[in-house]
Amino acid sequence: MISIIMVLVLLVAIGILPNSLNIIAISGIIVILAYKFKNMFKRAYIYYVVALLLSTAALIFYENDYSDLIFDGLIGYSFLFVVMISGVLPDKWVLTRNLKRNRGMFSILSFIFITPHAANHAFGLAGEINIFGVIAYILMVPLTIISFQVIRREINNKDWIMIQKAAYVIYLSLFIHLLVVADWENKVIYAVLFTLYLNNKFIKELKK
Amino acid sequence: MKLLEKVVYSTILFLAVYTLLSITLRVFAWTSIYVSHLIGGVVSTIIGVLFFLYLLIKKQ
Repeated sequence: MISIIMVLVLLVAIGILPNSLNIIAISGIIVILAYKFKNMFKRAYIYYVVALLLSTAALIFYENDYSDLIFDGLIGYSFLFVVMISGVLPDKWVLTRNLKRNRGMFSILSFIFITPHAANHAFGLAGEINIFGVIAYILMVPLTIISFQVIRREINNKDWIMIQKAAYVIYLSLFIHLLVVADWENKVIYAVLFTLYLNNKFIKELKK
Repeated sequence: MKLLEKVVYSTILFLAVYTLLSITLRVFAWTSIYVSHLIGGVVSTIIGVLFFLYLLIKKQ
């Protein structure tokens, strides 16, 4: 497993992959780590601090090539993609159980890493703003805040579950955002991923 | 108060603050159109989300 992670890290580091495949590679790294270390969520605050430091560093050293991984929203979206697929994988798998244990932490990390990308475009530093990206980001704000245990404890459980359904609107909005802004080689891959997600989600819901 | 009511009230507050703030900034020509939308959006998001969280956490 370590060797698979190293290969994926190397592929991302070399920079030969298009953005869509970079997202899949980074998601693969996250999935393998979640499978191996199922109790990562117990040290969530350490990861949040690291994510904040990396995001701040990306803003300061914006000219560095590796900052693009954060500025283009690749790492942020990878975490969110892992959260998405944890909802479509079969429940009886060990992988699914490990992913679900950590998906609250992953969604918060996704928000932290996506914020520099959002700020970059909002303040006009890197091209135009896209309305679907804005909608997704605004919806992510309340969902991220209520994902913290401190806040979650204060909210009625039924209400909390209903609010999390808004995540589907975020997923849809983000996919449309990706399809609109990406170039053709990435559009095809995003469309395939979206179709696979929808297909498996419908099958899983219909089986219930 | 049901969850849907909380969402509706928060959304109304968000839209109201966004509209008022961005129009005010433009009427007095304090900022450009884009910056007025940006400031209106950021402030209204913060206020709307805080109000929503307040409604969620508040005990009946």
